[in-house]
This record gives sequence, structure tokens and C-alpha cells, in this order.
Amino acid sequence: MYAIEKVGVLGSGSFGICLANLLSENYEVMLYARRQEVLNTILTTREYAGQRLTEKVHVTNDLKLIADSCKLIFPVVSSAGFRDVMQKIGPYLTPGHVLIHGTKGLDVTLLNDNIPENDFSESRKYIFTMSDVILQETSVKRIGVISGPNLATEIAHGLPAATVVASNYDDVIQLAIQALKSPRFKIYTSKDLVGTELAGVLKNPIAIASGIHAAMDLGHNARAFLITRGFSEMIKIGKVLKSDMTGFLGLAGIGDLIATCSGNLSRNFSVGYRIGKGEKLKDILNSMQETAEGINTVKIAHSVSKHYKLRTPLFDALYDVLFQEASPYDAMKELLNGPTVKDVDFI
Amino acid sequence: MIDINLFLRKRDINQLYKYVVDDEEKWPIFRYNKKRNQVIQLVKKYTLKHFIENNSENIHELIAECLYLEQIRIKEQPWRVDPSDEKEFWKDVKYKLKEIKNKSVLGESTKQLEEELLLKIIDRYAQEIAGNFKISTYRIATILVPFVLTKIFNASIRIRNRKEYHLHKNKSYSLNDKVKVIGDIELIRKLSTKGTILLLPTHFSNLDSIVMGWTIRTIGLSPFMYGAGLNLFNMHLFAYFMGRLGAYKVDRRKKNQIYLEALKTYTKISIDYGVHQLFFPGGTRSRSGSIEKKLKLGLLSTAIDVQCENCRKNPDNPRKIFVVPAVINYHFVLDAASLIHQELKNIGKEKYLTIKDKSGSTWNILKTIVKFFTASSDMIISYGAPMDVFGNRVDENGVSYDKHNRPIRLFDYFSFNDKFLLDEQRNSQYTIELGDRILKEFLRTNVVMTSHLVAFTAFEMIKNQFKLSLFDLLSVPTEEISLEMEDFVFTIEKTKSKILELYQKSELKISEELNSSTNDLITHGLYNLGLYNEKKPLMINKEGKLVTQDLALLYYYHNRLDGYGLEKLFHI
Repeated sequence: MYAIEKVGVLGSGSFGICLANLLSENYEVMLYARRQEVLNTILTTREYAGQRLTEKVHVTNDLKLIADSCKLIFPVVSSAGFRDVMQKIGPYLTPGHVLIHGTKGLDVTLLNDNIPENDFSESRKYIFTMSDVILQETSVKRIGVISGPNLATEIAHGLPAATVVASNYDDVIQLAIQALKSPRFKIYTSKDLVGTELAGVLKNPIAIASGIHAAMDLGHNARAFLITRGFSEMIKIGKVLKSDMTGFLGLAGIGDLIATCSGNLSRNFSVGYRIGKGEKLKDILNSMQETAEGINTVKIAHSVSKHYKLRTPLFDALYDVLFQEASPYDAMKELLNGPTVKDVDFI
Repeated sequence: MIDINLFLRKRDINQLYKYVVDDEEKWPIFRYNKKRNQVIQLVKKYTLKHFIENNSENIHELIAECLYLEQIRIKEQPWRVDPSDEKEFWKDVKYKLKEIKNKSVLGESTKQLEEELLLKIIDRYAQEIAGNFKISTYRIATILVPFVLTKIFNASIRIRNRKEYHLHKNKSYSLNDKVKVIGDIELIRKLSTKGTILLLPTHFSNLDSIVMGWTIRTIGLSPFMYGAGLNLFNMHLFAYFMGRLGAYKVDRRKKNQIYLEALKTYTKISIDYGVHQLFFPGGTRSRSGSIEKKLKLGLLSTAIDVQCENCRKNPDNPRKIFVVPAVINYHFVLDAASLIHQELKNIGKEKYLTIKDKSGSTWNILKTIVKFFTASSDMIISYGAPMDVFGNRVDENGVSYDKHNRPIRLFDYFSFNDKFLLDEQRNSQYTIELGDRILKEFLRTNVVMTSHLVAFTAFEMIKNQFKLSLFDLLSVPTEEISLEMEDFVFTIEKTKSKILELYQKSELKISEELNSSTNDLITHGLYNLGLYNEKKPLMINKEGKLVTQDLALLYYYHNRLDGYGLEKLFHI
């Protein structure tokens, strides 16, 4: 048993609050809220994102306080704000801290703006997973990721779920198991840190595609077609980003795909659905409170695929629909008319 | 006649820095070896303890496996250095093992007998591994080696430069004219009194250990401990010196668990005792000519374990281990041709057809030494930034700092919530990360010399010209290969500016000559590249074109700049 006293959660979006509540079943939790209005709302109402905070969750915007009082911290801020938060908390963290993140996005801040034109020949020199960002900005070495089909709304309603915790360090995994122990939350373990991270990241575009498909009402067969081909393309892209395949085959890959592609509880799925109904991406983004990680991932994945000359027709079509205003019908037609290739070519 | 004055004067010249610790008897390596017998007892105690804690049920099998492997080794790979009583010893082990088995079948307790036998084997190994250090031998070696080398060096300069004899007439050159040592030497010197230094150089040539031994002395550090292959002890002269200069013996034939654990324990005790270590983490010489891409983690893992143990014993002020990567930069490696042929055979298999294969014998080593010191080519030993075993920057007091310049408490790495935790898996992951960190530091510490730039550019241009796979390209007849000088000059400039850009970002270092004009740079590079290799990797023919006599050799020297992404410049 590890001597855990308090656990920190960075990020008070729906998943952050859900995770904080889950952790509070075992320990006192310090929840970080970056935006003042969110902090105020939570302090006054004890509620946010449709969830009520348990008594053991204490909310604050003081990162030093969190670093000083919690040795185990779960950062779950969006990928766009992740580096910023790590830079802010970095000066208070020590090698004694353990960080387990739950952010399903990539960091490309070092790439500047123009993503497609950049040089990806050393893919992981510019495209970072969240564990890379933690390593770059802090002195923490013991890092893990929690990923899988964990739709916040369902967990908040007390429904059962399973997740995977991946890390190069056994003690990080053991700490996660100890901290997240709950009769309704089953934990699986993995040593494939980067694979697990990338699986969670790359499944988001497929969720968008699924949403588009749902809006177009093309039937179950077509949905299965999209998901399966999408999965195969995810692995291809993951491989050039130097990841193992194992992460993709478990809860973080297949598991999360099934969850996010099946219904409208996922933000990425919703974005796709609205696109499929004819809304413009710009309008959708303006109306959303939280980030749909998948949109940015489509952009990055598309340029990686282009650079490495990968065959990823689904990701390409998705890119055209989201950023080139191609019609989803034309994109689907193109997918169906593509050349005949081997079904499974990634093993 | 030996000129005594020259003797003494040379000694001063070769010593750039004063010894950090003047009193030889206070040197860690001296004090450590003085306690040789005690050390052996400790090796026995800890190795036995390890097996009792981890293997107590299987000691019989452990010994049986060891015996089996040793019998095969004795039969298949006998060496001159092997002791004469070897067969007898293992026969006796076999006999005793049988006896134990008989007793255990009868239900008697054999635990004590097994442990006694195990201890006997460990003792034999420990006696073999443990080195020795004699100040008198060290004194002789430090005077003799530079003296002889300097003599040869000076003589050769005079012979080679007969025309300019007057320029050299009254000059006497020392090794320091030939070997440049760069890096934060003051910091390394200071750290040598604060903890144990782990000096980790790249490995290209047979000369490396001699050269490193020499630079350690020029920067004023006491001698380092060094694991020398037992095969080197086959030669009496080497055996005499190395056995008395702090080298411990490593027998690569012995792969049994008992031997490996005894070896690990021996190094552990010495690191813990504060004896500085010299270790080539690449294992063997780089066959491809590129800087190491993968390391042997054995000694690094021992270092992490010792640091972990020290943090447990003294959480707030543990004795520290400092890691210092170093890159040895040559213009040419005498064995380059045979090394690259081994590499190509290895990776190309049936695709690579060749007849040439010369292996390095001890005679070749001596030949290398003489040839090297008679050539006019310079070499640069580049010491990287010292760091702790987690890759953190350290200051002259040995304090580690994080990215935000806050002091780091190493105890934190081995604990959770201030509670120390022993975790082998965690430590082995730390070892992997330390290895990666060292590889990165090698690239940053590497010094780009003119010959490296010339070879790299030429080979990439040839590759681009033919657009063939490596092995197809290597089978193109050399007569078919030539480069226009004009194109070459243009491309060198392009590559050079990229290298200077990397230099500005501190991603590599450059030699002085790289700043000279492109023409001078090319002349210098071409002259030095593969000097003394039988075939010229690159030369200018009568028509003023660049040609090669051995493309594989050019490929070898080209690989030196592998790892910086420079080949991207050539993709059209």
C-alpha cells in the first residue's frame, strides 16, 4: 500500500469532475479549475458540467497548493491547454510526484501554426503526446495514462465502466489501482504508454466520422465499415508515430471506439453529427463549451499520413469534409470507389 | 641512451592540469585495491546473499547450470590465460554436486553444503575478477607511454616534413599537440572529489582505452577503474601492466548467473567505494562508424542501484554518482575497412558479397598504436556535460538541478510521499532512460571534423546520383563513381551551413578547421580522411574529379554524422 494522502486533479471539465468524484471514494481530492468563472460556479453551487461534487473534493486555482499537498496528480486538461498548465505547475513539481493524465489529444505547439506544410520526417520530434509534454516541462519521471471507454456522463450516473492504466513504471500502475479502486470501475493495466495514449487520440476522428455517418443514416453495415477501416488507419498512423500496436487492441483503442462511435454522448461524435446535418465547423466550434479533441487530431493525422505517404482514405476524406468543405456524400462515394486492398494489412 | 632530462620535461608537458589529489595513497583506486582481500570477501558475502534471497530453493540447479556452461567453455574456447587447474576445479565441483544430490535424495538437509560449494565458486570468480593497483607500475607506465609515443611522434614529424625541417628542428612536440581535450574540465575535476565519476566514451578504435587513460591523467584525475576483456590478458605485456593499473577482468565467455552476479557485485562495491570508472557503454567498437545507437545497460543499472541504496542510507545527502559521456573524435580509424565489412555482412547477409575480412589481433593493436602516433592527424576528446544518474545538470558541489533550476533531492526518485521504496522494475526503467539520455548527449558532445563533413557530403551525393539501395550502390564499380568538384564545393557549403546552425543550437560541436574557407576545409578534410587506410575513401583524380577507392569505407566515415537528420538536405 502506498501512503497516499490527497490526490490532485487538474482540469474541471466533465471528465475532470467525474474523475475527482471517483477518486473521492477513496481519498481527499484537490481539483484545479483554471478559469475564474468555473471556480466561482463550483465554489458557490458545488456543481458543474451537470455533476455534483462530493464533499471530499476541494476546488482551487492554486497549483502550488496542489503540488505541495498531492504527490499523485491526474492532469485532464484539454491538449490545447495542457502545456500551459504543465509550465505553470512545473516549478512546484519534484521527481517525487507521480502524474497520470487522461487527455486524449496531441501537442503541436512547437510546430508553430502551419501544420500541413511542416517537416514531419522525425515524427515525434514535433508531435508530442501528453506524457512527452510532462517530461519536457517538469522533472517528473513517473508518468502514466488513463484511457478507455470512459464517457463522463455515464460514470457520473454511477454506471459501471472499465479503463486501462498504462505506464512504463509498475509503481505508477499500482498507485492508480489503489487510488481509483471502486466497485463500479474496473482497471486493466498496460506497459504500452505511448500506444495507449495514441489509441485514445486517434480514435477521436473515427468518432467524428461515425457521427457524420449517423446523421446521414446509412445503416449499420456502413457504420461497421467506417469503424473497422478507421481502426486499421489509426494503427498505421500510430506506427509511424513510433508506437506499439498493443495499446490499440485494448480498451483504449477498440474499447473506446465502440463507446464513442455508438452514441451521441461523445463530443466528437456530436461534432460529426452536426457536420452531417449540414452545419459549418466554425459555427459548431463557436457553440461548444468544451474541446472536441478529434478536430485537431484530424489535421495532425492527415499531415502525418501525407508526409509518410500512408494510405488512409478515411482520414483523408474526413480532412476534406472538415477543412475543405467537401460534401460528406461525395466523401462516402469516394471511399466506396477506392481501389480494392487487403482487409487486414497492419499485423 | 635515455635522456633523463627529456624524460622529466615530457612529463610536465603531458600534465596539463595538476592532480586534483596529490597524494597517490589517497587515490580511491589505490585505497580500494589495497583492500583487495576485504573486497573479495565482500563480493563473496553479497553475491551469496543475493542468491540465498532470490534463489534459495534452486541453488543446486544454479550450480549445475554453471558447471554445465563452464565445461562447454573449457572444451570449446580455451585461452592461454585460463588457469591450469581449471579442469580439476570443475571436476571437483561436479563430484561435490553429485554427493549433495545423493544426500538430498536420502532426505538429508543439504542447504549448508550447497551454500559452501556456491561460495567456493564465487571465491574463484572474485579472485579472477578483482584487479590490482601498484603505484610503482603506474609511475612507470605514465612516464613510459607518453615518452615512447612522443618519441615516435616527433621522429615521424621530422621525417615526414624533411623539406620544412628547419621549422621543426628545435621544436619538440608532445601528445598535447596531437590530442585536444575539450569540455568543462574544471567541473569534472571538482566533481571527482564529491562522488564517483562514471566516464562513458564512445568506442571506435582499439586505441580508445589507451587514449582515455592518457586524457584522464592530463586533466589531473587519479586513474579510473576499467573492465578489461580477459582476452587482453593473453598477452604478457598487456597483462603485466593492466593487472597492476586497476583494470579488473571481464570474461565475455562466462555467461553463467554466478559469474555475472559476482562481476556486478564487484563493480557495485567499487562504485560505492568512490572508485571512478571508465566504461565503454557501446560494448564493442562501432562497426558502422556511427555514434552508438544502443547501449549495454549493465554498468548503468549498477550505478542506479548504488545511487538508490545511497539514497536509502542517507536521504538528504547521499553520496552521488556523476555520469560523464565523452566522444572520441578521429579523422581516421585504422581498422575502419574491416569494421565496416563486418557491419555490412551483418546487416546485408546474402546481399553483401565480399572477400575481405581482417580481424584485429594483438599485433594489429600494436600496429595501430604506432601508425596512429606517427600520422599527423589530430584527435579531439570531447567531454560532455556531467550529470547525475537521472540526466540532471549538476553544479561543482554536486548538487542536481531541475529544468527550473531548483535543486533536486535524489531521494524523491526512489520514494513516494517521502517513504523509500525499493522497486527493481522502477530502477530498470530509470536505467533505460539514462541510456537514452547518454545517447542524446553523445550527439551533442560529438565534434564535427573536416573529414567527417567531406565524407558525409560525398557519400550522400553519390547515393543521390545512383538512387540505389545501399547494397546495390556498394556493388557499383568504383570506376563508375565520380563527383564534379564544383557540385561538391556547392554541396559542402550547404551541409556546412546546416551544421553551423545545429552548432548554434548546441546540438553538436565543431572543430576549429570547420570555420576556415570552404576550399581549405575540403583540402584539410580530404587529406585527413582515412589517412593510413590502405585504400583512399575519397581523393581527387587527374581530371580534378572526386573519386573513391573504397565506397564501403567512405560509407563508414559518412556514418559518423548519422543521427542529425542531415541526409534530409539531399532529398530532392
